[in-house]
Amino acid sequence: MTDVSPGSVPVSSRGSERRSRLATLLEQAAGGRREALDEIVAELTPMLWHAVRAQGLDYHLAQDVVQTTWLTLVRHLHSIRSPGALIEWLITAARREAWRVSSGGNREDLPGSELLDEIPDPEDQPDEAVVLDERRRALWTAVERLPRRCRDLLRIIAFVRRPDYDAVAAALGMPKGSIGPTRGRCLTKLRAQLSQDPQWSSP
Amino acid sequence: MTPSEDGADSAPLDLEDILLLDEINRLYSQVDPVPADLVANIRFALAVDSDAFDVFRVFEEEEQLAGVRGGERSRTITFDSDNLTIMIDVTPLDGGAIRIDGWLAPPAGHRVELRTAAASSTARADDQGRFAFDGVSQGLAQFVVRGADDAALAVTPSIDL
Repeated sequence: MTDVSPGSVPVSSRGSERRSRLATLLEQAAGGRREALDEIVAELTPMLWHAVRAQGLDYHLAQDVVQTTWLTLVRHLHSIRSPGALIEWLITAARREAWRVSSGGNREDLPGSELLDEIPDPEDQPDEAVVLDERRRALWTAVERLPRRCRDLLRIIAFVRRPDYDAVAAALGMPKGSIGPTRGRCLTKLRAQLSQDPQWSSP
Repeated sequence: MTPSEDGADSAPLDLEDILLLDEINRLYSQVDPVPADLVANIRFALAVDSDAFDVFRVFEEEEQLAGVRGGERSRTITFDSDNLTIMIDVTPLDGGAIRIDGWLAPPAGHRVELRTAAASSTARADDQGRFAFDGVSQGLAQFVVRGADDAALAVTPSIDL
């Protein structure tokens, strides 16, 4: 579906150009232009989807949470002034909502990052209908073996452009300045696993 | 060429990192794709003519066999916002349409709007908070609770009726 394609565009493509486009859209949306908000929704829903699914929500609950997050944003739109602030707000709100839903409404507080390790993993296998080629299967296996925090971080930033990594880090409660080294360590671990897999060959 | 483990915030991403993140993007896009109609459903819900509303969350959803008429499934969905609760019963009618019986609490004589892709219709909640819509066509829908001045007080996500 063309609506969701922007989020599938590889992170390497023209990050800064698309970011300034997002800044323009944000300004227009805050000014009440609903079409601009529609564009932002198409652009950032993949990021939110993967942030929420990484938290272990099932298929239907995850959709409710993503939708509720966007509806809640409308009220706050006028106070959000930059793409980074928008991304931080969205991920924070979605994670809070996911936490609320998955804990049956008992807990209102946002989990600290240490609590992430206690949330049960989502299903370990892709849908049986999904056929992965050998290379992608190798990547899947390696990603699944990563520590939870590494896996979640890489999954989310894979759907975010690089200038916004800091916003993701802030939303995940990571200390400012730690995302670079953490990301580096996670990618190094992933690469170490991949290097032992004969099905994986460098691109 | 791996990023330095103790590097600064701006630890450079080398080309290898960028390509690997691209592959992770494609992996998750294939393994757990964004549901095809999610963006459209969100846009539908966002097309409310207001921007100062509370948001109803889906609190509970049940499906049961409507025994009296033999085998028809009816659904009960409860939504919660900070100040209001809506419960709706969705009953299939002959010919493919549905009937909606709703209850809004606390009762305050609010108007309840049912938005669908085709049209929007309004019912006033009575002094018990009850309202109903008959002959509704199936498909994507959203409830909007409006106050005396017609402003949207709270909206539900879009749901497939």
